[in-house]
Amino acid sequence: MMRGSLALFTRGLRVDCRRWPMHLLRFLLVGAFLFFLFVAWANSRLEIGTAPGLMFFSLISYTNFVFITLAGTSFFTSSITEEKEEQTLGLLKMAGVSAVGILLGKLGPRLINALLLLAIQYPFVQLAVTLGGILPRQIQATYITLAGYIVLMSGMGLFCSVVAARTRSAVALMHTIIWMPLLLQLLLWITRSSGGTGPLMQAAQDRVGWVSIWSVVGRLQSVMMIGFSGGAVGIQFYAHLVGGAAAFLLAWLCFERFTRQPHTPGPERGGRLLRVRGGLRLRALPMALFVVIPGLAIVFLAFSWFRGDLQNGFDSVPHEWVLWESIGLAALVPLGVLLVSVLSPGSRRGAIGGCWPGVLAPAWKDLNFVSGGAIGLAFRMTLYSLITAMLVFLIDFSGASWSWTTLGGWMLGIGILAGTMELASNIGRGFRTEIQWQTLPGLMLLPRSVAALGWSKVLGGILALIPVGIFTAIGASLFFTSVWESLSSPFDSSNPETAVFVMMIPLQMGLHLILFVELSAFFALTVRWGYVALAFISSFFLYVVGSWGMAMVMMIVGMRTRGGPGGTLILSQLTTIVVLSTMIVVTYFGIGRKLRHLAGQS
Amino acid sequence: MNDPTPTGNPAIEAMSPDPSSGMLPGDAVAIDVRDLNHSFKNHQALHQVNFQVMPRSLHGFVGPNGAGKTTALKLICTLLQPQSGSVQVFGKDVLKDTKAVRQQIGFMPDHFSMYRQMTVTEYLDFFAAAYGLAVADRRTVIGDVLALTDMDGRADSPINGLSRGMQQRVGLARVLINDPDLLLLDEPASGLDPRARIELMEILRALRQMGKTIFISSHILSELAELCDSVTIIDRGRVKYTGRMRRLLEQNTESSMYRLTIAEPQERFEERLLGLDEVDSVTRVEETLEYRVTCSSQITSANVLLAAVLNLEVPLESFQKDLRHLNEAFMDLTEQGVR
Repeated sequence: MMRGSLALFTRGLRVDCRRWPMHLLRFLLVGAFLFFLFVAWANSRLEIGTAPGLMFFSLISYTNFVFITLAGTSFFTSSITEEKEEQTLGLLKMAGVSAVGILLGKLGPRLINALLLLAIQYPFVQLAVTLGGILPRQIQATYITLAGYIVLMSGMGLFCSVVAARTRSAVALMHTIIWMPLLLQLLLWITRSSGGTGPLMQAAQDRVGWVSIWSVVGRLQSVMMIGFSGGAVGIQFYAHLVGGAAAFLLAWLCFERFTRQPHTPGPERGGRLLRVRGGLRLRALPMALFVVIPGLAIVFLAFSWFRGDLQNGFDSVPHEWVLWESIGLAALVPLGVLLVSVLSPGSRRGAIGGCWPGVLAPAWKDLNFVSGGAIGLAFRMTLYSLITAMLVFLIDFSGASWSWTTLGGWMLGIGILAGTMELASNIGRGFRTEIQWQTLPGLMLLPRSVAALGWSKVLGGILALIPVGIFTAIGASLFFTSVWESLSSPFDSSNPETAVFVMMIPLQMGLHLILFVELSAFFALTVRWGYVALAFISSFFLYVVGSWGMAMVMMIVGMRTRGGPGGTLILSQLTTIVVLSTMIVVTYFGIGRKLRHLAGQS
Repeated sequence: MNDPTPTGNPAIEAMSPDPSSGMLPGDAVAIDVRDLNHSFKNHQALHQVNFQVMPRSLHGFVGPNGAGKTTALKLICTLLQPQSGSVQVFGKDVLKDTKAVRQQIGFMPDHFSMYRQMTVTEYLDFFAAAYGLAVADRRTVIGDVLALTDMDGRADSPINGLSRGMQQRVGLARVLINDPDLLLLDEPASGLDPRARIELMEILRALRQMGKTIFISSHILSELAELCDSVTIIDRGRVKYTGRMRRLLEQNTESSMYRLTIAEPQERFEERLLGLDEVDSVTRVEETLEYRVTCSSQITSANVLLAAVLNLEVPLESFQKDLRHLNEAFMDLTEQGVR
């Protein structure tokens, strides 16, 4: 067992050393640390805050946390699935390597790499002590916390990798598992911050302690507090060690069960439902929505009118009806899609003429076969309807005062975040699958320009955002009044600098989102997995350096030249916009160049 | 440039296929490759490559692994851009008229690159739509290509569930969807069982009869010899031969071989044959009545040898010139060694 395991271990270390994305990640991490050092120095120059060491170390710690969470989901989840996808797992078994040998041999190098990445930082972050505001014991406790988190992530990633057939499924499963506690924490925070006194509020208060045992953020917060007197090893570390070991054990127990059948390489059609049904018609979704949404609205309005609730305007409509409307939507949309699909003529699978003509054909393909088609859209409609219902439930029934604006704000925020992630994932996957299944040459040989093909694929990804688009639009319309107020107030003020500054914020955010999506597409053409995480980290790094760094530089320059920060903030923001725009243009042409190169290579 | 005869390049003219074969007035050469060079980093994949493919011909493209076949195919089909030299398809330059060239070609790569999550019809419908065919035309064209490739019974099957041979047929159907004049097939028979291979060759014959120009790269030399009108042999990025297939198989500088069969056994027949002035050696094919006769020099014509054999007064059943196998020509022209 040991010989096979060691062979795998050595090979794993060598392969990881040759992977350039790993070096890019390390480079980004080093770049981030240098930047944080600059921020701490700039803060001390500007006399913002009193503990530059604490600030420097906090930034490093939370970056490490985000880094481990994002990179860990891709890094550990491919350990076994990559062997499944390359159909080499059977060969390893035939070579006499036991299940535990394979698991140790595959996970070991990755875990060592991740821990080494953490360990190498340790001597350098001692600098924070000399900057002031942090003690060596706090640094020790932080790194132990993060090491425990890596162990937990590696164990869970391995389990997902064993259970899933493909890396993509493993990453999805891993995300579901790790976001659940975070979502739970978020929900608890919402209920606590809403100030309610309902039974849910009490239940939330009771659960906070239990959840915080597992919480890395909670542990980091307590470690960073001035006057921290706890031990270097907290209960979170032990909990994560036990969790990681349990996940490893579970992966071992499940190994034979989930690797017995050889993996058949080939793209998925878009979920089990599609395979069972054989493909539901895409046009069924708008038809179903066209019937379901007005239908539900009419029912509720009629009922409201019958009860006399509408006499005092829209605000007097009982808000719990939103809950029932959302639940109704969640249940009826998939049902409507199914019914329309079955009842509409020519619903036979693969009927000729279904594909959109000309340059729109790749958009049709990606929408149907990458983003899940009608079933995928209906599923997402259900998901976002349930999220709305959950928000209403939490805001209303936690005992807090009800507000349409609060609901709209949450919906808008969640919608923008989820929509961006969905778009990056859809577009990235659209390109990745072409590389993975070597279908790019066929696509590139169509008598269209590379730009037209690329934009068509982007369109496919955008169209899959219909559910989150509806969700965000509803949120925006509910939030409209306060948004309008916040946008219009700067224009009313006598200070034109403020108006320009406010105007630039959404532009800068929009550009940043575009860059994130573009980077996802670019990295999808470059790395096998983890392209969304890599894009997130890269664009976050660029954004932080671009906006924050420029702001710092300009403020220092402003202080030296004019005696205060003043309008230099606008100049710094303008510089950030120029930098982001340049990056967008460079990445755009980089994608085209990469596509041409890959088509010639495959 | 459209006229294939006066190239001005002696290397091409010496090796060019017979221009009269398959050419109609106003026809452009299907593929015209001139002084083509291409390299990847430090590796020179193609070195001064020249060859032409006549329209409506079936042209084989043969070479050992790593000879540069796939690179040449990708340059012709516009997936790669020539670094120096030129490639023209039906008189259109692949660099300048890329879109027009793409409309006229269908390229099938050597790997099974398909959207395997689709059904056969969905797959073909996607490409038909992408080429801009109207819905009514799509129905007709898809029906036709499915019938041609004998896949009409599996139109609704997911591609993932099809055998390798069937997937290759779907790939061929996809290539035909835009009714291209030139088909570029990279190892279409690799990985197929004998039946699937033979059936594929039958489809190619049918396509050639329909007036398509087919440029096929393959390792299965015996089938290429039967199928192709002309051939280009490439080795280590250099063209070793390009021209008519028959001329390649007849080429032998040192000796000519003939095959003759007699109707009934004759005593000391081998010795009598060896006694002829024209004959250098005789081999009997196992225990049959067939003999292989090697003549010492090219000067001996078939008629002279036949007259000499008839003078021996034996009942002759058949007499024919024995062509070399393509394998032999291939081995003679290419160098040994792993690429």
